[in-house]
Amino acid sequence: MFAPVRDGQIEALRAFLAGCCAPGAPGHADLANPDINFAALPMLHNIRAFIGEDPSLGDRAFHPRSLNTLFGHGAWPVERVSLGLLGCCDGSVDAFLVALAAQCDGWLAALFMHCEGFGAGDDVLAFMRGHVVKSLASYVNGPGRTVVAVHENAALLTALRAARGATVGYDPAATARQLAAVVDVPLTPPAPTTAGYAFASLLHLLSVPAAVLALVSLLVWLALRYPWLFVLVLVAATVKLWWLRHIESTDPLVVVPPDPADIAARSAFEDHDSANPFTAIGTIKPGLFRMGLVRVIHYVIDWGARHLFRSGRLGRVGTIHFARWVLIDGGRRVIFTSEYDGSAEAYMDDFINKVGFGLNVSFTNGIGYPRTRWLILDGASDEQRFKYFMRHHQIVTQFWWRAYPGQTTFDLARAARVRAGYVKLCAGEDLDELAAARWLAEIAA
Amino acid sequence: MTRTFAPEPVTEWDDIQALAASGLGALAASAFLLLDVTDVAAARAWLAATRPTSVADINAARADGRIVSTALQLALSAPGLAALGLAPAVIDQFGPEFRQGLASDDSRSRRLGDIGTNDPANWDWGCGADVPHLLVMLYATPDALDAHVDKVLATLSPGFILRKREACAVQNGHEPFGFLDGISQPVVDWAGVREPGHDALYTHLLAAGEVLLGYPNEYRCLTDRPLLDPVQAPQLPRALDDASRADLGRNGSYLVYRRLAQDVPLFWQTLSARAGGMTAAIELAEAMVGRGIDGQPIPALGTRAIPGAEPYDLNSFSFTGDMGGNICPVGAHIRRANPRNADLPSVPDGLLDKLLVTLGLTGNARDDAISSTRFHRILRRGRRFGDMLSPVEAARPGAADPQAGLHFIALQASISRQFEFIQGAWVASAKFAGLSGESDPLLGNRCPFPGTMPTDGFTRPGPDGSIEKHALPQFVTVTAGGYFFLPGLRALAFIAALPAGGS
Repeated sequence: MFAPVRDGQIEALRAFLAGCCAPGAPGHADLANPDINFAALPMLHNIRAFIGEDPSLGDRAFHPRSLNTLFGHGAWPVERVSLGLLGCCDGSVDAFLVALAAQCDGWLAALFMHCEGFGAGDDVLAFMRGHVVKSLASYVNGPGRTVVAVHENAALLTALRAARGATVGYDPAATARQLAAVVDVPLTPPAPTTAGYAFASLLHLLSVPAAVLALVSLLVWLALRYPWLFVLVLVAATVKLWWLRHIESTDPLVVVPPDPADIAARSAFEDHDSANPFTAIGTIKPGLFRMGLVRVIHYVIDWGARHLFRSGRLGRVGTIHFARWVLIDGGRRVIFTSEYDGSAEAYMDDFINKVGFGLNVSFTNGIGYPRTRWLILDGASDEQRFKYFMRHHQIVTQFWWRAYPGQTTFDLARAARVRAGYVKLCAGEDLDELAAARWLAEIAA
Repeated sequence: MTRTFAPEPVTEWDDIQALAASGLGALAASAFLLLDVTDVAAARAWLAATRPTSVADINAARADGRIVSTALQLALSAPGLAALGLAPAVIDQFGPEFRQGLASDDSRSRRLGDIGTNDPANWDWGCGADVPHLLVMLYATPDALDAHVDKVLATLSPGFILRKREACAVQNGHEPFGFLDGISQPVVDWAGVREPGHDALYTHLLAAGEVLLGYPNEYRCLTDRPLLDPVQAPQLPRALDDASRADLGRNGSYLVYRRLAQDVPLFWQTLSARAGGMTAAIELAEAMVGRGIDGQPIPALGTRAIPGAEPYDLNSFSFTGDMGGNICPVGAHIRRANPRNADLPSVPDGLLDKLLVTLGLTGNARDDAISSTRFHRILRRGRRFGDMLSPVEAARPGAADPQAGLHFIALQASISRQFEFIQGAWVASAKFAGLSGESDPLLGNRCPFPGTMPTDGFTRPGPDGSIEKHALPQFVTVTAGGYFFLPGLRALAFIAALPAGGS
């Protein structure tokens, strides 16, 4: 959710969020604070609060609204600074909001007092419901891996490790059987997928192929039925592509080398856990063309993240727990958030080297991004400009909490594999020798 | 379109300090002097009169069938550049890490593992703003070193004050624990014949721009560095990417210095107690390092032709057949320091496969955790200090600590993408390549991270899939360090000739 901050309240809000953080770990929730007992919310993976102060707002001067567009003349509007509160949860958003309001009523009220439209005694749940923003696109590293399951998997792994020493034997299959028999950790069976959800998911899966099919059919039909119209469409498409290449090679670049003091100020919030939150904000290039492009591209990203990348990697990047794109200010700006393992520099390097094309296709619509070709080429491979761009748009995540500190995506996946083996063994199935050896090795590691 | 540059052959050898091209191994003795500027005019005069040994000097001697018997190399810290009067606007164009320094910021220390006993607050020098202005590295044949050092020392006053003299042992190729050292080095493509980015397989070859500023790097781009108005710096070469600017960085390199104290008795006593005897202790140590004590790769990894390691040498192997670490543990020191990965996790079999591999639709996360090591290579130019103690001697109870260690020295064009990445994301990381609860078996600080989670583990998988898990104490402590700039000779002359009162 996003809610505009009251005039003159930004510093007070910053101080309030700082006061909710652990001493010595800026930006990280103070677990000793009883008002923010997020651990009592069994569906919550992580939650962050940030002040959407946009360090890149001045870049709009390089990109007047009349540039590259037949529409959208006029001055850029003045943007409000908003409070962002963003949680990743299992189940429905509304059920989470209800639980959050019930658990952290006092804290939320104190937080929202810095926002416009919220007064003493107001209902926090109604306020949150009124400010919820839908994602443009999102990615989840372990779809179906609930917080409850993560905690159970960790407990199971600990129990198996403790019991491992007591089991003996050189036959891995027998050892595995023996080990599973002596460990008893209650596991919640995964919630069955509802028919409605499965149907919606299927429709979503089919949407992109159906759209492609419809487009191709339309073109073929046009070509056969109205060849002159088809030629016209081809010409228009060619012009549009030429136009794309034209704006790609002429859109202004914004290169702001980071200031060491600024990097130091941000780094103070980073690397206190094995994972870090990343929050960035930026203005989308003006005009209808970009507006449409952003929506189409992110629909496809969302589609790919949901249906193609289900095995713990977004493209080739395995260190992202969650990623989310959100449009704000009526589509003028986008906020990108993610939670990733490792440090910011490593994150950016992984990005450039593994999914440069994916970043390009998304961020090329942002003002000042390094030059791309055909939306996917170049761009991020201009390593230094790309890193400058990312740091220029990054905003400090003033407050962040996660349900399982110290756990990387690899740790979570390993524990889930151990659980799968355990469930099999408990059901009386045997693991073959290789699988049993692997299962035992993952417990020992 | 992004401006990219074809590889540029390096030819200006008389402008490049010798250390960029070789470790000066023929000069087995060395000493490092850390200096502070006390009198700017005298310091500049000293710099103007002091000519660091260039690659051309070494090559010329070699062509004559002799070696130079002494060499001097010179590097400056960011405070040193400021003390010599380089304008802030020029210094601001150096990389942000260099300007901040190695130990000025808790966040950097946390990332590099410089916490606990490694905390810069405990360092001999280099903590915070306490960075010496100049690092003068003196090399000689063992009989000539003392005279060489004395001669330089006699010239320092009144320009400089000697802050610290770091002694080095006469090099024998081994580091204090006994392992052959300095084996895996990138082979710099000085001739500019390799097109970066076209390697489907791991290569030792590295673009010159990864070591020297002013040349195209592995991204085919030029790393940012100070570019000046040529009117004010007529003696400097023009920038390759901007002919209207004079390049202060050209032929220079960033030098990372860290003094690592190694507890040799603790190392061998711990391993011998763990393993139960010296033979098994050496085996365990070799698993921790990932090589034989004599530098030999683990035979079961097999040999393969690697560009740059020719025809076959101690580097003719990779880990592609051992992603699970059953032959060489994933957490072994040499895997952390150089995972030997190419850009893609497998060699694509045709266009469709390339598309699937690129999109991450084949393979798995574990085998692709680390990639593109070519962007994270450094030239190591370290020197050992202290006496050697054999593993058997060191393992004896009550063995005297020889106070040995390594002056770790690395050259690169980007401190953040090269040294800091290797140290932070690979060596010190408790989560390297999907591992958990481990840090480098040699270098780790063993401090819990995050919270109370241990990082002192070392898992050694057996070929049958079984796992041996060890908890290790801290063997190595960082005791000093700093970031320096190793300038080209013309850049140094420019700094020496700065007009009084600024540039």
